[in-house]
Amino acid sequence: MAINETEVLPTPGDTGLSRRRFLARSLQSGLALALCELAPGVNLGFVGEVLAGTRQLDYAGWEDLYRREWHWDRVTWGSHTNACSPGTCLFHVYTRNGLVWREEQAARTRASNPKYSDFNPLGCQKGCAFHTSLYSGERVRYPLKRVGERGEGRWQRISWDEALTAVADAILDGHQRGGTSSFVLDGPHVHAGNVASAAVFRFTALLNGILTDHNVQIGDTFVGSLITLGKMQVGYTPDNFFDARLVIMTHSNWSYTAPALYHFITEARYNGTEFVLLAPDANPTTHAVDVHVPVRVGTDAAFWLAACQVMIDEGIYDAGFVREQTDLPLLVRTDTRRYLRAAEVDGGREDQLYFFDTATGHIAPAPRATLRHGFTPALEGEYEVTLADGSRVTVTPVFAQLRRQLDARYRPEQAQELCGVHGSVIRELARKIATRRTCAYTGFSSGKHYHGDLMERSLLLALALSGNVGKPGTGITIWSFPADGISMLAGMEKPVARGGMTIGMDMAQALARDMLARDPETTEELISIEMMKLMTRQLGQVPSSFWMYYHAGYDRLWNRREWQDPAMPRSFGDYLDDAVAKGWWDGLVLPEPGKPPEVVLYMGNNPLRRVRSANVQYPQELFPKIKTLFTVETRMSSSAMYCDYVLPAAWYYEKEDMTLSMTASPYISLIQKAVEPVGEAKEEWQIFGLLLQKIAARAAERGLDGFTDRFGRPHDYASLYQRFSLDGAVHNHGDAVREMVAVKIATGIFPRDYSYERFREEGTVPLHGMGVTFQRHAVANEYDPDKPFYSLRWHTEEKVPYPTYARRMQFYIDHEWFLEVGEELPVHKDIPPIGGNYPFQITSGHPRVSINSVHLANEQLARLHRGQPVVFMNDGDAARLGIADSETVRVFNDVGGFEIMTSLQACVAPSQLIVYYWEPYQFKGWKNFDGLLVGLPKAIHFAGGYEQLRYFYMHGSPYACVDRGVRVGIAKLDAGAA
Amino acid sequence: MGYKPDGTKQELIAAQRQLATVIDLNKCMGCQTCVVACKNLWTQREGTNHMRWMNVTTYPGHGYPRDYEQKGGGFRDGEPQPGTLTTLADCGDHFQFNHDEVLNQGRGQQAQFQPRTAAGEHPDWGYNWDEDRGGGQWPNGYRFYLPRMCYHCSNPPCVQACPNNAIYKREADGIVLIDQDRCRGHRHCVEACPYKAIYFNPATTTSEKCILCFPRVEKNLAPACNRQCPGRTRAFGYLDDPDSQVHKLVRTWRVALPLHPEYGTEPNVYYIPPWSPFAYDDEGRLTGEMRIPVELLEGLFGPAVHESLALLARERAKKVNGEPSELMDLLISRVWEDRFGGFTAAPLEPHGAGGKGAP
Repeated sequence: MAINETEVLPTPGDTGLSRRRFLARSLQSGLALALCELAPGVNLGFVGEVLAGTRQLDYAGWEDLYRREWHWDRVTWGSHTNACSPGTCLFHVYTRNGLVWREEQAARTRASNPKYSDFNPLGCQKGCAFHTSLYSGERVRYPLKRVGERGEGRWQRISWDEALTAVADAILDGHQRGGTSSFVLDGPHVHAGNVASAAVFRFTALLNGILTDHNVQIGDTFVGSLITLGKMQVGYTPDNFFDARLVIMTHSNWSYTAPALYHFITEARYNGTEFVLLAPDANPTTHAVDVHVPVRVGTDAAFWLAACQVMIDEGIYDAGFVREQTDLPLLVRTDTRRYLRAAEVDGGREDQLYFFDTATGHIAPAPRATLRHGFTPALEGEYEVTLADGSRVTVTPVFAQLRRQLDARYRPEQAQELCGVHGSVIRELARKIATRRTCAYTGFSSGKHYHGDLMERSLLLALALSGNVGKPGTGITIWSFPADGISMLAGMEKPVARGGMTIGMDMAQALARDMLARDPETTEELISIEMMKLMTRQLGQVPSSFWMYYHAGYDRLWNRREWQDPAMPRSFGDYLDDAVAKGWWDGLVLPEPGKPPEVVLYMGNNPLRRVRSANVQYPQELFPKIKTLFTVETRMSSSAMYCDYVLPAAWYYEKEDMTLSMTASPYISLIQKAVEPVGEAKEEWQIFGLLLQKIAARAAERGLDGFTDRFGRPHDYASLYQRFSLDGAVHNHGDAVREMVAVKIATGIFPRDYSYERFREEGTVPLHGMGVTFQRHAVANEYDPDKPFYSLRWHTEEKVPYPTYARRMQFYIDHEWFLEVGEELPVHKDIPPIGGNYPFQITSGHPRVSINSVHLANEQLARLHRGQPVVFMNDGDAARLGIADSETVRVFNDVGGFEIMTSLQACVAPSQLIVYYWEPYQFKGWKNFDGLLVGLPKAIHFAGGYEQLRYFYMHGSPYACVDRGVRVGIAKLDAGAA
Repeated sequence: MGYKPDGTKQELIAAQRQLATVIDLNKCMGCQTCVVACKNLWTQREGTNHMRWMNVTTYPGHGYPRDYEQKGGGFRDGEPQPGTLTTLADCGDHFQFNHDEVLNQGRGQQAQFQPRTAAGEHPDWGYNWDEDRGGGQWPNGYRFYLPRMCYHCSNPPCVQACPNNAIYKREADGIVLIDQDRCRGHRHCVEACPYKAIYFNPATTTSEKCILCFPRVEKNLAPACNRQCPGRTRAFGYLDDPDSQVHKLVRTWRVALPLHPEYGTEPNVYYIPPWSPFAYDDEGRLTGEMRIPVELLEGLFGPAVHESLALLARERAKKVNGEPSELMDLLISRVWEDRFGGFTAAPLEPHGAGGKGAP
């Protein structure tokens, strides 16, 4: 009968014409059978019979089949803490039969005012797929004890009591043998959650343990900004793009990393803002910009410096801004290349610097307490100055020296040789920067470049020369968030309502009095920074470079002189030793060299993925020294595989928590508990509370009363839990969120009249203020929810000094180490040949469908791409090497090698290879690409003794994750080196 | 009036009003949120796992289902064209992963976490396999992302092809549905659809496709793909509603265009054609020409693309020069809800036992 159908010739006017003809032609085409084969019993001859039997029925009732899918038992608020930046997206979470089935953006944001776009719907593919992670095969459901080799994945399910006892005993053993520094919390990422982060910080502080700084370890520290501005937590809201006429996106790829905010690019572009993307490859955000500037890998500074050369050469820079806000008018001695200082002029302060006043023809002290001055300082010329000892020296403004350097080395045609961008493109953009409201977006890649500091300094120089700082539509965004909720909950002895915040306030006031006595012209911002330095040392928060160098065997990699900047006269280790000997890192070199910790805790941290070369260094060098490795985790990461005990943590929707707000996305959202945790997973606050109770119980059983901390103060074990619970007030995540709301109200991050009850009702709160700690000063502007936010206005309008040595935006650093390597001014330097002498440069970054490694093994998200690691490669390079798309190739350098599948495209630059993040266990033999990256920090970042060359938690210190531009080769599996 | 399976084909495709979607390709970033949104609502059931009713692939590329543009169907000069079926692999498969083998079986570094096809093989193709590849030649490589779904055509070839009258357009809103009770899985509709937006469910032995989230639409809530798009690429509403953005973009400004209008199916998803960054000449100077060749866009959107691109450029130039532009403001849509033609209910209903709020 099917065959008969094909023989029915259509007749004109027959409404069945089309159907029959389709049917006929389809059958003639042979009914190519799909893998979805027709079920047995279905035969085409049935058609007519069915038609005959159903004439009178209204079949639309079948539609209920789909309508029934849209039904839920309960809808709650959800978010995913700050797995990403911004990561404050509010979702509806839909529950049916005790399981989470889906989530959808709640879309409850608003525009700052009607001239700008709102933030809706705010939430991306990771957020919309998150519930599938709850039930994924990677989930940790029960306490596990390792029964095979570390990393082998052989587990025994144990009870919570057994697990807590084992860990508690290990910590007590460590205290007995090695003191409190025997316990190390290796840098958690906030993706664990705000309450979870506060809990683990609090736990570690109570035990007087060591916390390695995850932020500098992952290179989310912006050393160039710290050098220039004295700070890095500056930012703007993305609607600031509407107020700019030109936006230059650097070190970023928003289509992958900020999908929830990406519309601010496309919408500001429709609004007339021009967008430029500075990136080696035409990355997936290129589609949203007007001009893609394909700088060669690691050569951004050459582009920016050439733009600066054009602005100065053509006289289109903002001289007024330069004279007031920057160090460019300050005088430098031509003989020593050091600033002219009052100590040598008249016996005054060492840090009192000078202008040359063109009105009087004399030098004049540059005010330290304000940027406001009545001088017209010289920007050019050389002047003779008589010093207190009677000697005469020649001085010249920084500006004159800068101009000479730019003219000699960075004319656009010279820069073209360095960065590969045609001089005409640089000139055109320089003129636009100088004449238009311009802001730059500085993503998180500069802190992954060996000379990323020079890139940032050069970029900031271009913004300063053009006056594009501290006004609407200008500036840079790094990241900026008031973290008072976490830090107060981690540190308060009792709740806010019982005066919990007063101890910190008292400490800050005492510090302020002390600092003002020493320098009456100190600033509030400098005091807030000094407070952070104090807290950092109190809490045992330490830079990661020492940790990696002394305990994880990175000396083997980092002391290879041929891989570091050839201008550095000493080895990495020599710089490190020198810096420690000079006392620049006092109180921070912990755990001490030769005294590795006994117990290491990982939480929200997968170092084998995130720490460069850790998949080689940690299992070989670090882990054998550690007696007990334990993790509190939601998912079995590559690193959790190496732990001795894996304690299952509740994930989002299984516990109450809340998000942080960043200026990038100025909302704070509530995460409610929608379902019970899977298996025997528990909330982190509860886990750490139980662990402290177990430590006390075991200590009592073992006859141990207490311990002495690093500062010689005694503590008893018995009271640990009472202190952990803020004197009996906070026992779980629900309590903690209520307390965090109280902190945010008290610190002005929430409106004063806000409440926990209102938070539950509304789900999300627009950011109201920048808190009471250093972040408030760092952004240097009042937060007004009714306007786009931008930073640094207090400097440009209120004339408040910057927290730098020169008290200005400082481009000239006369620190001995900077002078020695020729970096007193921003310069371009090529990336040294880290990894060896190979023709390709590798670059990396966040993948599209995962935040770090959190979602890499999520089946639903992994089905949105090839589901396995790929290397993006230029199609011309591939053709030359005979490499095909989807072919498995070998990538290698002096450190190691890995196998990976290719994806070829014209959007990747020649000689560039791009590998985004993957779990080590996604590679054959777990040899992942991070293994080749070395992470070599730039040794002169150990410099100290100079106001802004300072470290405090999350800020500064050599970032140990340099990977951009590491040298590699690539070859077919059966071929030799490329 | 409801769906009457005994009606004529003409009656089955009659619709009093037509819902339409506009997708702005300048705003799409290829993030796949719409794909996730759709999948979590509709295609997690047995037999539907390989389906992506909503899909996004990189253009130029093979598209999804793979090479759908070469698989025939639709009409040419009013004449229906032969088509071929899609395979499970064309439809992107449904990769399986080996968590347990890697994490729990004590195999250590010998086990590698990797995808397997539904048939247990190492995949050499899958959904979005050519993600981000695109076209052009360095330094002028280019790409854009092309989201696709059922086009809920006004002249739907699937309705014409169904031997069982199981496919119809809803009279009230023009949504094209496949009656799951009547469908017998012959898949002539798959062959007839030139966009290959229909998928076979081997568990139910029926064909399924995008239903334009009609259970949401009936509650005055835009489809999940539209409402959940973080790029705010989507406008939705009735084409004849003069206040809707779809009407303004399609009818008034005529700047939103159908994909492959030559297929003759009168699709009801429209696209704002994409810009691209300026190209470089051989010396590395900017040319002022966009990187995506206009012929390529003409191949997708027909000759009307020239006028649409010219209009977009003129209106943007006004904004660059500080002048107002109604069209640009429409595309910006500062108030997100304005995109959805009144389909703006909160996605909360029906309130279940617990209602909104904490447990």
